Amino acid sequence: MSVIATTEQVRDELIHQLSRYGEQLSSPVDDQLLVQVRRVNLLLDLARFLSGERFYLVTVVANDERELEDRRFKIYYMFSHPTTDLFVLVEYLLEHGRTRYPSLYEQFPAVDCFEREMLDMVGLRPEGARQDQLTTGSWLHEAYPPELHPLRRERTTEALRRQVADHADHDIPRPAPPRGAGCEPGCLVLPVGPIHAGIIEPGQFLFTIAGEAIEDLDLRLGYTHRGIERLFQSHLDLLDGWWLAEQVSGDSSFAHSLAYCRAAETLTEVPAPPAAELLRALFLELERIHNHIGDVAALAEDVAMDRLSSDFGIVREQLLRLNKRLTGHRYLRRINRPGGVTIPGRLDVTDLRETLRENLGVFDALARRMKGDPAFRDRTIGVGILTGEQALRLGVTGLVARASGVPRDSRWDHPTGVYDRALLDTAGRPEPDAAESREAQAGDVYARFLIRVDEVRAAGNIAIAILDSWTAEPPEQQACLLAEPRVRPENNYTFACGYAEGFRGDVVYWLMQDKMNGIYRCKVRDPSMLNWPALRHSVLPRADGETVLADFPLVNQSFNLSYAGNDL
Amino acid sequence: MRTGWLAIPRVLFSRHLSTETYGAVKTSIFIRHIDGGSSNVFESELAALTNPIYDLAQYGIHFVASPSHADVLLLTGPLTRNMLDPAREAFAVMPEPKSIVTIGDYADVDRRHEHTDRIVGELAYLFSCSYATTDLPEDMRRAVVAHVPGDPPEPKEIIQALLAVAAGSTAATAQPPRPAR
Repeated sequence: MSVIATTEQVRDELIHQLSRYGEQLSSPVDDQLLVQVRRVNLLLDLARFLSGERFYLVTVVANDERELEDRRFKIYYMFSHPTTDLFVLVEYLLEHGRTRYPSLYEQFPAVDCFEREMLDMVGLRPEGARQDQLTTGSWLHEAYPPELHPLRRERTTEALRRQVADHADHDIPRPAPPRGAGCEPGCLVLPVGPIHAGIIEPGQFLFTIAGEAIEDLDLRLGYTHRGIERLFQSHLDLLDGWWLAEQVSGDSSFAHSLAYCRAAETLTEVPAPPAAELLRALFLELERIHNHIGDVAALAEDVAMDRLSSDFGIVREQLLRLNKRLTGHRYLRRINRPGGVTIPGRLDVTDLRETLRENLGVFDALARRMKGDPAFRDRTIGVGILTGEQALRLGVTGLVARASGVPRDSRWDHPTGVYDRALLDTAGRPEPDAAESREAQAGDVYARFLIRVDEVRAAGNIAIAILDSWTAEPPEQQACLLAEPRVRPENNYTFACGYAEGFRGDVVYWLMQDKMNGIYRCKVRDPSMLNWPALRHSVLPRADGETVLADFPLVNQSFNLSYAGNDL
Repeated sequence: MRTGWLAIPRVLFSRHLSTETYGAVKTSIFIRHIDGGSSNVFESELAALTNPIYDLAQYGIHFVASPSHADVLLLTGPLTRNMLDPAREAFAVMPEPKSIVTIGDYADVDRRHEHTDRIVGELAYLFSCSYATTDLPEDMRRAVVAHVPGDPPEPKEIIQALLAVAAGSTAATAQPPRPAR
């Protein structure tokens, strides 16, 4: 592709290329190209082409459509163009009555977690050598019957619950898969968790250690699996799905509800009013600010800088209280809905400006002290490195990718709402002075710390810029925050995607409407899902050194991934 | 025989072992938290309790790393099937007397309490129908002494409930039962 191409040129070129692999379908949204593929070799060719063009994998959705028109399982792959505001959606139709599909693991290693999920939840198996590498039990542990695939539609939710309960009562549980087997003599397998020492979510880490050095790390997640995707299906109205979206990963509640609402708004074809889009961007940035400050506080605590950690904790509490005053909820729940936002009372602009100015000033001063602290630099520089090349290969997203020098940020790559060029200039991409920008892309714990600090500053600027636009709005516009969407029957069994850049990265919802005003399938993709494998790779031995076990909590905290968002 | 300076602390202690000091020791509890499948805001709020604003330690209440050091188990979220065994094991190793405090509307195992609003009520019901959640085992259910409603509860509400538990009061559970569905 040419160096400088407009979106239209790239789009036309892509349409031309994609026509070689399958039938193009019309898409309701301008920035999505939808292509339907039926043949195995064409899917593999298409994946090779997209991989060669450096597309990012966004999400993979397996859907049981055996009772719909095509009478088979389908897999939807969503890819994002690396530089242009375009998505490519590939709809792959499995053969009638078959549950096998070709694995795209070679072209996109990021499909690994999605393939495991499809195996557990829908019971689809990849073909070829890949099937031997995959084991069940990543989401559904030993307590579940092996033949249970909760996202297939032949059983009701009540029947599923009974089946699981019967299995637990009568059957001998499946033995846990052998773990840590085959390690070298002199190595030791150290299981940690699922309940950890601190106040965090559950998950098991199996370290293979040689002395103090970590040789390998095996992650076992799924402990907080609540069956969220099944609960979306046939239990909630399309316009009420945001209730559950807010529960997926609580600290990122607003980004999740926003992504859901965007998908629902595409289906109902009623966009939110402009004033509501301003508020959505404002709250999204407020959520980013308080979470990043919380993470910086936890990093300070992990390197025994308790005084700084306490001060950061005070700043964060002030911002949570600000959220409460503005919206009635400390974690910005119950605001978003399809068609706009609701806030109790009027937005108190003065309070917002004052609180942000004061607290971000304090944060900045504290962060500068932490940045320059020799002890902190010593603990974090060169620890837990994820190189840019690894980040690209693993398809890592969000803050973790940016700290490895991969500029992936859906706010600017795929702008929606008020995010545009002018706002980007206000915020400034994170490139302060040269030395710092090099350190901020090194992919280590210190880089992730620097990116967090810089994003707090940028988010503060964006919030102020949004407030300026807000005060310029006439009062009747400010009062108009909620459109009245209605479910459109002509969109039954069509799907839409919604996304929002939360503080961890892009939250993506894939939503299909059913014929009863309900949800036929809702696939949630939290950024954590793509980033968990990166945690393992960042602590594996490298040519220039190893990670010691005592540094692992620090590395883990610097990623700060969501367990609930991954386990669903 | 203690003589000389060794006798001094004994004198000091015996005078200070009056009501106040002893009272403070009595209300001190050690807490182990278990996430039974919550969205992670509850953890976020529990972690906030240790910041200097709420400073849970001033009441003699501490979070501990091991359940075998804990008096109280804080349970958040609808208990998932995958967390059932770990939660059971953790409860089993806690020394007697032990009790459980459930935090947040989704952890309200008996659905005895009014939920914060209609949406939470619907969601709590949904979670209780999911194939991936399970009821609390009978022995753990009996050990539940208090419930803090909310999605999530405010930090000060959690503190009040914990203080009530520490004082041996049942005020935290004294809420109207939920009307039958």
